Parts: sequence; C-alpha cells; structure tokens
Amino acid sequence: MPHLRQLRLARGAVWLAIFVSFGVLAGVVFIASGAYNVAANERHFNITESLITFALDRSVSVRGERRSVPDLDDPGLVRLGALHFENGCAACHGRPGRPASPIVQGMYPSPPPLDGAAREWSVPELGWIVHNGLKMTGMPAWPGKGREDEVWPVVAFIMAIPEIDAAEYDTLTGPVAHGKSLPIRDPETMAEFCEACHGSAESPPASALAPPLTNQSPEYLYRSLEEYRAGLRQSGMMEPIAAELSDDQMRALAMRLGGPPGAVKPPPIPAGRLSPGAELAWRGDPARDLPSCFGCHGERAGPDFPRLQGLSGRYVANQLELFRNGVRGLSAQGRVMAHVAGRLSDDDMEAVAEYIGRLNRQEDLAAASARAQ
Amino acid sequence: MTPRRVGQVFALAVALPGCSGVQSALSPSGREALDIDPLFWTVTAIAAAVTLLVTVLVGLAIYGPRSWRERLSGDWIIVGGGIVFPVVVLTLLLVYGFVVMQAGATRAALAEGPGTTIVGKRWWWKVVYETPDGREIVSANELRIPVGRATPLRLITTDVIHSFWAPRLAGKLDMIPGRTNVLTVEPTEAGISRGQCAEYCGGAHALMSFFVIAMPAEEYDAWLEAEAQPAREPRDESLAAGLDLFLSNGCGACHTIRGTPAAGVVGPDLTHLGSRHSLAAATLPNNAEAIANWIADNQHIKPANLMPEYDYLGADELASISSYLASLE
Repeated sequence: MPHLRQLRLARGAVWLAIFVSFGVLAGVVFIASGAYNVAANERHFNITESLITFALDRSVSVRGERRSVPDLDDPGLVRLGALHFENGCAACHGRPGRPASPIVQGMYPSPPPLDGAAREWSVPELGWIVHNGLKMTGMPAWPGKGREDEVWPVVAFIMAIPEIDAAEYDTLTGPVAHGKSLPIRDPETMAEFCEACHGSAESPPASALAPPLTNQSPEYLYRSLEEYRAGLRQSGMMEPIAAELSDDQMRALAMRLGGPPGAVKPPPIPAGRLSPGAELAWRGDPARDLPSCFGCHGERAGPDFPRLQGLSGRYVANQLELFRNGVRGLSAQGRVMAHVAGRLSDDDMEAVAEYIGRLNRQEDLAAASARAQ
Repeated sequence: MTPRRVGQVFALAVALPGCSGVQSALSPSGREALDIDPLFWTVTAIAAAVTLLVTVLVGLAIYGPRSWRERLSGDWIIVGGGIVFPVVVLTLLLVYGFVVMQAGATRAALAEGPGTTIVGKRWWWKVVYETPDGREIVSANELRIPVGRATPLRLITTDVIHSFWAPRLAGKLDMIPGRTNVLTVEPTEAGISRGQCAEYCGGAHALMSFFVIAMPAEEYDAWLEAEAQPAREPRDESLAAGLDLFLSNGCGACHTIRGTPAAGVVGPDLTHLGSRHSLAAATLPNNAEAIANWIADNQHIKPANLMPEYDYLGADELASISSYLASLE
C-alpha cells in the first residue's frame, strides 16, 4: 500500500516542521527575554566550555601548522620579546612568578598565565596566536599589519618563560619594569623607556632587530614616530608606543635620542676590490638599474634620511624585505625606498645587509680600540 | 555617399597634410630618407596602378560587353595577369629595393667622425657623443647631428628590443640585446624633427620619443664642445639651494650632473638638461614647471618608469630643484 506510506511520510514532515518552528520560536523568546546571562562571573556549562576549547585547539593547530618559523635560538630575541611582553602583554597575562591583577582575573575567559604555554602549544601555534589573536577571548591581533616577523621575539620569550623567575624577568625588562607603564610624562623616563630596546651611546640595543638610534638624526626619528602614530609605518611594537606621544613629546624624544645633525659621516669607500655587498652599497648595479645605498644615504643625505651605519645586518635585511613586499611602502618616503627595493634580489639583500652590518662592527672595533688607548 | 561617409573622407583629406610634420617619412631631410622616398612613391604608384587595372578588369568581366567578357575568360589572363605580370613587377621592385638598401649600406663606408652611441632604455634614450679626441659625452633623449656629414649611430640596448626611428632622417633600425646595429645618417638641411621607438617595448612604449636637431657642421662642433663642459655653477643663492636639495634628496644616486658630486648612471644625465627641447623622452615640454611635475608625479605621467615619485617634497622645494635643473643649459 504505497499511498499509505506516502501519507505517513507527509504527516511526519508536518510534525517535524511544527517541532522546528517551536524550537526557533523558543530560541527567539529565550534570547529576546534576556534570560541568558552574559555575566563574566557566570561560567558556561562544562560541556559548552569543553566544546569551545576543543574548537579553539583544533583551529589553532590546523592554522598554526602552516607557518614557517625563523631561528629563535638568540638571547637578544628573548630580551626584546620580554620588553615588549612587559609593555603589551603583562597587564593581562601577568609576569613570570607574579600573577596578573585581580581585575584581569575577573575576565571570562581569564587570560592564562603563560608559564605552561610552552608545553601546551608548539612554536608555530604560539606565533599564530600572537599574530592573529583569538575571537571573543580578549586576546587582540598583532597591531602592525603585515608585521608577522615581529611576533617571533615574543614567542621566543614565551618559550623561555619556564626558565625565567621574577628576579630574572626584572633584569630582562630593566627600565620598562612593571609599574612604569605608558603613558609616561617625564621626558627623561620616557627616553630610558626607549633605550631599553634601542640601547644608548653606552649600551647596545636589546636585540639585533631593534635599531640603535644614536646615529640617526632627530628629524628622521621624529618622522618615524609620526609615521608610526599615523599608521603609515607598521609595527606592533612601535605603533602602540607612538600612539601615546604628543607632537611635543616626539620632538623632545627625537632630540634626546638622536645624534646631532650631520655628526655621523659614512665610512670612506673601501680601497681595492669590493665584496658584492660593498659594491651594491657604494656603486649599485647600473646594469640592473640599482642605485647605490650611499647615493641617497651618504654624506649629503638630507636630515630626515636614515643613516645606515650602526644598523645590524638582520635589521637591514628585515627592513629591505618589508620595503620590497610593500609593508613599509605607505609613507611618501617609504614609497621611494620601496620603489627601489622592488628591484633587489634575495642575494642582493643578503649581501648588502651583511656588508652594512659588518660596517657597524668594524666601526665598533675602531671605536673600542680608540677608547682603550 | 552618406553625409557621414563624406565627413570621414573630408577628415582624411584634412589629416593627410599632417604627414608633412616634424615626424613624417614623407618630408625627408636626410640622405637615407631621401633614398627611400622614391622607393616609397614608386611602390605606392605601382600598387595604385595595379589596383586600378584589376578593378577595371573585374568591372569589365562582370558588366562589360559580351566580347570583352569572352576575351577575359581565356587562360591567358591567369598565366599573364596571375603569374607573368606579378613575377616581372615584383622582381623589378625587389631589385630596386636591393639597390636602395645597398646605397644605405655603402654609406656606412663614407661615415665621418667618431659618431654617436644611442642606448635604448625603458623608456628613454641614453645618447653618448664622442668627440674627435675620444672623450665620451653623455646626454639623453635628444640627438644633435651635423648637416652634410655622414654620422654613424651605434644602436644598442641594455634591456629589451627597441627600434630607433627618425622618419625624416632614415628608416627604422632595431636595437637588439647583445648586438650593435649601425645606422649612418646624413641630414641634408638644418632643423628639428622628431623620432620615436618603433618596436613595442613595454607599457610606456608610446612615451619613448626624441627630438633630432640637425645643425650646420661648424655649429654642431661648437655645440659638442659646449656640451662637453661640466654644468654651469648655480648663478645665485636660490639656484644653489636647488642643487643642495637635489643632492640631499639622493637624486645623484641615479643622475649625473657633471661638475657636481651627482654621478649616478641609472637615469638620464642632467648636466645640460635645460638646453634640451623636451623632458622625459619628448613626453613633456622642458620648463621648470614640467620638471617639478615630473619629480613629484612621474608615475602618473609615465607609468612604471624606474624613478620613484618624490611627492614628499614641498612646493617650494620642488620649485627650487626644478628651477636649478631648468637653468642647466
């Protein structure tokens, strides 16, 4: 009796429709009535929490797998990461050996202390989390658009947390010690804050990735801060700091941290046969339409042009890559450099960065021997 | 004819005299072009006559009296008009063409003086003059040439294939990577004409032109001697400020101004920029305002060219740099 079966099926479908409609209606009534409690002190059911955690774990591990990781075996990275952690992360995650403020602990989910993060997550997963943030948890995405390279010092630090106690953390973070958080009004304190990463005339920068500032002109430093504040130069580390500064503060900082205008002369052109890096730096490669570095960044360079001497090879290589892929090509001056950097090959960048970095060391050696005498 | 069709024919009739302008192969002012000229007219006249003949014969074959139609349907018209006639006419034209080309090739033997090297670049011309005593004088985007002296032009390229074409002087000759092609030109009268790249070489190919200035031989020699001199010193403080800005903004990394520290060789030599008849390979007029526009907005004027835009310079800085460059005569 096929028609009887069809009738039964049709009746079942009607009942199903009625059932679903009631379900949707009940859901709407439940939400619209305000019966659901969004309070942070009202926990999810255990099953809900397990589901959310499972979804988060899977999402992070699937996405994190795909990234390549640079070499993190560098004490400078841990130091730079610790300094940024103190400025950007510690307020929510607490510090090694010291839990976060009770206010933060009232968040739901509350930002976890990171003592166990190195065990719980792999390096690429941590990199993914720091770069992208986590929805609905309060964990923000990295502020500098396109600056994935910047998350690795922070990851290096997180991986090192298990071996770092409160005292060592204070040594690492030094002048950015907890309690001295932005905004800072006193100019001298602010300058010390900058020098924690960038170093000073007496001390080297925290990492090869943080450029020393003493060779740069106040005009260039001011322009850089302005670009960070306006979002014309991307950096998850520098943008939040520049956002706290007024024009006057920027001017004062640039004067205090930069070298006197024109004080830094480029080194003389080396005699004899030049290495490929030196050749590019001094003569460029006209056959490939490449001007030399010192053609623009040399002795006659304008006041707001950056000076190259003193920069580390890693910093130069990193910035050239940012120019070439357009991340540092938003400001008018950045576009000029990006236009030229687009013609550099990987080999060019490696060679020229190596040469500029070596220049720095040779100068250091010369200065050190001069001081010793 | 519809009124619209009449209008088109009229427009064509008005436009054709335009061919006698600064860039017209129909008004030759050089030996090579003068040789090619009768070849062009001969071929054109023969082609016109053949077209006329064929049209008349086709008309007769369709509408003509029966006796004509019968005559035209014979085998002789295929053998005579389809084989013998084209073979004879085209052979004669080919021989004539060879003779003209041979005349061009033998002119190279008559070449006087060291000549000039022209390098095709995307999208401009580097022009290197050689003085009788062997100095190389670099300039750009303009060719000066003596009247009545067969001058060899060595045509090379450092990037892609270009084609050097100064229609009033000579035919086209390609610039081929790895080769030096020599074109010997000899202007017959003084005056300014225009040329351009005649081989598609990338996005801004259409903006790769140049002016040719044919000068009486003594004037040319004097000009070359002046061109060999370094740039003139800035006459006053404001021009000196322009030079300072030129140097401090790194322009010297790509451009040379002889007599100043600017010694870059990536872009055009600017030592005597002010004396040229155009800017940016005959794209813009040559004056301070156009120079300032070029410095700040060149990617809009000539998209994807190698020079960055210096749009961070203030209006007064641009004016200062461009006034200085315009003063370099």
